[in-house]
Amino acid sequence: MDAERARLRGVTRLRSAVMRHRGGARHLWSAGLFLLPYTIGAIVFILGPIVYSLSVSFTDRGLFGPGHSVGWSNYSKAFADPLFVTSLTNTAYYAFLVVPAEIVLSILLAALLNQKLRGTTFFRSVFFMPFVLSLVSVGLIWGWMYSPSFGSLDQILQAVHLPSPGWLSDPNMGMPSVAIATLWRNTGYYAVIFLAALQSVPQELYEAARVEGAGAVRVFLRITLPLLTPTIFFVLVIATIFASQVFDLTFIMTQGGPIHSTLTTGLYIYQTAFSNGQLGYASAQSWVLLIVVLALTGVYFLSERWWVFYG
Amino acid sequence: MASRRLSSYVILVLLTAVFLLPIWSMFVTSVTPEGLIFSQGSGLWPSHLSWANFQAAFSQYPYGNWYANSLISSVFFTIGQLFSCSFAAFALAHFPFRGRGVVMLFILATMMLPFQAVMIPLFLLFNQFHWINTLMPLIVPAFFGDISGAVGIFLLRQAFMQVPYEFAEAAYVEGARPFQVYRHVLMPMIKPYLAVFAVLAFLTSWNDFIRPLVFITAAPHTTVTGGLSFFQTQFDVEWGLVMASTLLAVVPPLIIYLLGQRYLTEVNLGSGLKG
Repeated sequence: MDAERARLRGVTRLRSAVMRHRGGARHLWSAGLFLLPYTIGAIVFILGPIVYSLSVSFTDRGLFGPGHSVGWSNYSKAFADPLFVTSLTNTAYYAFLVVPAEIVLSILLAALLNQKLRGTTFFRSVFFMPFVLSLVSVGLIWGWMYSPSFGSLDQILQAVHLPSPGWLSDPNMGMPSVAIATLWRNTGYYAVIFLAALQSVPQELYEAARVEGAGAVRVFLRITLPLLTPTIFFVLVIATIFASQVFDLTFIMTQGGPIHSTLTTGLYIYQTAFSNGQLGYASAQSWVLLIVVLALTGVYFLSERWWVFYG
Repeated sequence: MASRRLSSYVILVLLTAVFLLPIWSMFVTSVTPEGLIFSQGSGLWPSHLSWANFQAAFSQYPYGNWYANSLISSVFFTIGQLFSCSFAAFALAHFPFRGRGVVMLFILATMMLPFQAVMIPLFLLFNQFHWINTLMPLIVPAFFGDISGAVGIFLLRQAFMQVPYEFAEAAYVEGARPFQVYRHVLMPMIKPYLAVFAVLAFLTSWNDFIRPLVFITAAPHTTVTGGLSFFQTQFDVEWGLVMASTLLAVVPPLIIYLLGQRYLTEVNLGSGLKG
């Protein structure tokens, strides 16, 4: 608490002191100069391409040469395309599997790590480590784990005489299998974030609760959880964004199979653009994805005031 | 109390086994001869230590080129991000200018952007420069912030804001210009954050898959991670070879992570973005 106030004091002093020394217009100039590299990048590598992809989405452009204008037909084509619609529902399904599980599991993991046990640092490193691997590596490792009959998981199941769920060969298990690989990789990362949040909860609150005789579950629900809501909100947003963009895992593990059950939108856009060479159509698809993600993020932010509690 | 501690330890140990199992399995498979894998899979312990898979990886694929390309692109990517992101973070932390909130909102918004939204125009743009099949598309945007810089900018902004203003004020009183304050006062004071930033940037670049996949089509010119795209696993696959190749790809990030770990404990990973 005190550190927070001290920092705020420092920042306010910064503002008034800098104002005193340099005056408002000078700020804009200096700030602008330091922001110049980023601004150039934002125009050339972000805004420019976004605008250009919008214009390309209204053409039938292929890999070579500009195409002809086709109006909105790429967009109507997208919604009439069963594969594209499937990819959208698949991506939504993936997000439903992954995001709530990531949040719940990482909070539990953080709570586990928050107890002042010896060796916490070691355990924390172990759980965080998969996040350091590239998604492709994760996909290949789990591709091996899921490999029929001889892969690690099936070998373990055989050893205890249990049947294999068919992991990546059964269309019903395809997405859950990809989701499990995702959880393995990401949970540790979110757990570290939640751990930091848990450690900033003032101890007095817990002591007061203990004095009043509250049990562990009640303490968690009434004290910890409300104080965690800002972090939950933050993790919810970034986890959803990551989930909506899923590409690497489905590309390397399944290429969208079996029977398109793991065809995610990110993957389908890539295939449309670079396997089928339909750049115009792919651009329209990517804009649909963008709008959906923006809308979802908007919903999150609108809901913020209903359930996020800032202490 | 004691039983709670014991059960916590038990759970932690079990979880450790679960988390390490895939890595261990990858290692065991990579040192098991291919023939054995096809007939009985690899066990939990290497039965026949063999380097054949690694030899195959280097002979069948240009792994040496891949390592060199990854190293070059990741190092230059990190340097580029260090400059562009620290400049931007300094501007956002140090100067209370109008529109600062808008800029931060924009940077935040870029994090929501799926790469698919810009990959086609970027491909066409880099094609114009004849940069396809080179490392330039992986390096040049780093010097200008780009989408990947967003996290770093917030991290370094948080770092700059932790430095008490007195230090900069003293320099200004002596007549220093902002760039000198940036270079001689503030940057030296946030070294732990810079270390974390460098590790994150290096890992981001090393692990990047979609950019090498889109911008580099010829095998010898791609990075290690891009090279993994050649190991499609839908059909009958030489798992020993694949696991050996994956192990080779995974070792550098693991080393960097283990070395850079202590800086991560000094710096809170989530703080840069929530503020």
